[in-house]
Amino acid sequence: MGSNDYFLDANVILRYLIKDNFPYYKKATNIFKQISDHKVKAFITTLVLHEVSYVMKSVYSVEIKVISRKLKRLLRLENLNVLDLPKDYVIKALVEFGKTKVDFPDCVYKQIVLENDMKLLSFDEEFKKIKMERFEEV
Amino acid sequence: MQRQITINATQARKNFFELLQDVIENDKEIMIKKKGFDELAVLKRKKVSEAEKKKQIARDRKIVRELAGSVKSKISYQPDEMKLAEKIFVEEYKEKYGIK
Repeated sequence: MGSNDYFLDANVILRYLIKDNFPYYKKATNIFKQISDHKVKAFITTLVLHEVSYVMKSVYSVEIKVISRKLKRLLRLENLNVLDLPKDYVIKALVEFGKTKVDFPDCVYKQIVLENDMKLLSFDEEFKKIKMERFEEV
Repeated sequence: MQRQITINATQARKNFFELLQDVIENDKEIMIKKKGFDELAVLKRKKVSEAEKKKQIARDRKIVRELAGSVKSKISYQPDEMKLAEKIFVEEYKEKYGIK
């Protein structure tokens, strides 16, 4: 990691996308301009995306399909990196989240399971909606 | 320093993250041999031309302009949004699993 590498907290993405607090919005937009100009490299995890999507949905009543669309677009930024899962997989998780409204973490779990050729142990029947086979015992 | 390393597919799979780091940070080229295949798979840094880089930046600037303030909500800024989200999460969880 270099000196121009930054980890982004969920609130930076929230203020930039929602523009509900002007001073923070200005700062957040400037951060994203630096990212788009390739002057800095930004890093997030799927946990950050989960916080962003959950706050948008539950606190600000934003539609899930809108959240999914905006985050997918955001991930197209070359210098915005996801640390814990390849971007393509995160985008697939966001697509399923937008279409099925299954919780975003469950959509991420599916991608992790598929990527690592594992079986899923879970008691959550929601996985049916994203066509994910699950087991309740080993 | 050796810039090119040749390894077999099993070694590549086992050490993928270390190899990736070597490619990204030390500009190494990893040649991967797979049993039964004559050709090698290569893991190396993609050299981006200046023109390509400019195009990429233009594309990224467009995304940033497009997305800035693009999510509309009737609810005003909540400074304690994380706490509120946690509270809602607990309520939803209890409801989903029938916990009182």
